[in-house]
Amino acid sequence: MKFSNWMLTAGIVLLFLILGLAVFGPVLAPFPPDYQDNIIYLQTDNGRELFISPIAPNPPYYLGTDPWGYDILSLMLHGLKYSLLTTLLVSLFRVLCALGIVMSGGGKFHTSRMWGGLNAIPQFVIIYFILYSLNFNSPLPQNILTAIQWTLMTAFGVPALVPSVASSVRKLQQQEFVTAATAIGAGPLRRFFVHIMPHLWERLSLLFSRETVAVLSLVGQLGIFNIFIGGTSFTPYPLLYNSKTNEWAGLLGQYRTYISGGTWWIGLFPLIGFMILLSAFYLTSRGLQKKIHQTYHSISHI
Amino acid sequence: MIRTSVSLLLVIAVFILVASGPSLIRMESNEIHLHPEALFQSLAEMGDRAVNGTLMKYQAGRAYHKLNETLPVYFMISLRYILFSALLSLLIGVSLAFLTSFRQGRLITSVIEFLHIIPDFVLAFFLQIMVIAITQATGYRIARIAHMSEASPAYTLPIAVMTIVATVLIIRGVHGYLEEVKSQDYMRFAIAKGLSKPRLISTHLLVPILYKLRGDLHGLLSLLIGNLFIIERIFNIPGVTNFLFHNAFQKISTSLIDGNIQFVTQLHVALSGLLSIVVIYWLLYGLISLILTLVIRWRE
Repeated sequence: MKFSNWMLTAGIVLLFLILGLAVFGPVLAPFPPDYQDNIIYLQTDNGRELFISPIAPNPPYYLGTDPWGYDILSLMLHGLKYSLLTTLLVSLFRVLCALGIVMSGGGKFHTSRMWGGLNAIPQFVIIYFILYSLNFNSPLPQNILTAIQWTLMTAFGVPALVPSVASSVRKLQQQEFVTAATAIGAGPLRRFFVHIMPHLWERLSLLFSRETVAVLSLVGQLGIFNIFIGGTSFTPYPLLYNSKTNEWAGLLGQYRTYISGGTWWIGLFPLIGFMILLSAFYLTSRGLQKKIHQTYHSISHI
Repeated sequence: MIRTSVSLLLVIAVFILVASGPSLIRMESNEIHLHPEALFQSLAEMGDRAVNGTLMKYQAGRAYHKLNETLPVYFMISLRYILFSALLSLLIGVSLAFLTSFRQGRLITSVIEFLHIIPDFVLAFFLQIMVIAITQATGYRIARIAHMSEASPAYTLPIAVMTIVATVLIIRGVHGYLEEVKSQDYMRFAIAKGLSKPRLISTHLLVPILYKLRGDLHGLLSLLIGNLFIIERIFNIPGVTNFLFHNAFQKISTSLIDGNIQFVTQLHVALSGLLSIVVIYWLLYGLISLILTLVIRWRE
């Protein structure tokens, strides 16, 4: 790893820190996720004062509390693992599914231009429509609902990846060393694992890292429309949508209206957290891209 | 023509399927149930509406409205936002990309790379925070933040968000193409012939870049339409996407026992909303392709 590729270094370091927080977050969190404190006495410069939630950032509520008295730092520490797991697994499934489709001979179809009509409707809208009746106050177990959400997010991401994977695989399949391997009797599995995969690895990891950014954005977009990973608890009076897992995009979605208000901390900290998470994935992706570009780029004449 | 009609029918079929999603997949006694018959019921209901003349009528909360009266208004609002942002981002994007492509490593490139990592909704939140902070610090309101209660939507921030996101995509795309075009042999040939830099840029670089941009228009428009959904949601703009989300499905009651939600689907509303978005997409596609083609013809 060269020093010039600071993005890759920073991205990986940040990702490891986030991974540590995700694993140890529930232990580090000052309160359990269902701990609620609406009215508390806090020691301030003016002595003992009575506070009513939402409480501004102050020990022991380092990031403040929301209007119902939940500690935002604790919610974030408990929810991080869902954000991280969703991003990593959905991206991995997308790349693996695309690779599976290409290797099984798919991905040769051409899309008609009129299908551009379907392009016009973003992925998250279609996922929203499918999840509409399942996500709000869902009686489904959380893991089943999450699996359905992951499957949908994977399924809608794969078609965009297939052409990219297909072109890389086809290029490799036309290489002489693959032809030579075929000539000396290597089977399809051996050709794939021994001759193609070592060259494809770099490209796939780049695609994977790009997908992480895309998946996190998709989770965020769904969050804006109150579709939260792990389910949304909904109450009509007062109209509230809350994330059941406290996943970060969900927190951002449920607190989004507070961002520009007087109780800024409620929305701002999930927003900053989400940005840090996104930056970690982005830096890794850009770093990887730079590393690959430095190896294979052509030289400009002007 | 036949192929186009068939594709159009297929797109409508997919939309009907998508719009019926909440009726097709339902929760009943804690299990997921598929109701394929709901699709035909919705279609039959739409047929009934067509026969008895209520196809244009829809329910929004407790009120009833007419599609032919409200939808064009929503449509024009959305079109205004997206068209303005698309044209603005093309103009700024291509110009900035050319200006910055010969001075790589400058501040602007870093700014663009930074902006690229920010999704539209995060950018919208940050701009809101920034505007409020500036207003609080200086007392001068640089943009209006629209709230639910306000009748007229805000313009500056939504258009700024859409334009920034699209501009960043264009600049990054054009930078990539420029790298590709600059390393072509015909560029070396043109330089060897002694052509001036402005000439090189305005024909040898600009024309292939505009061709590439025209080829990539679907990507740009998909991004802009995705933005439109988010922007209308965050800034409470009464456009087509808000019309779709507010009226296509309506939660009518919540069970006090298990919290299960009952809702109604208005397929004709969902379908007209989705198709309006497709119309916006193709209108933009046609218009921007035309503009790019005219510029290419002029410079070739």
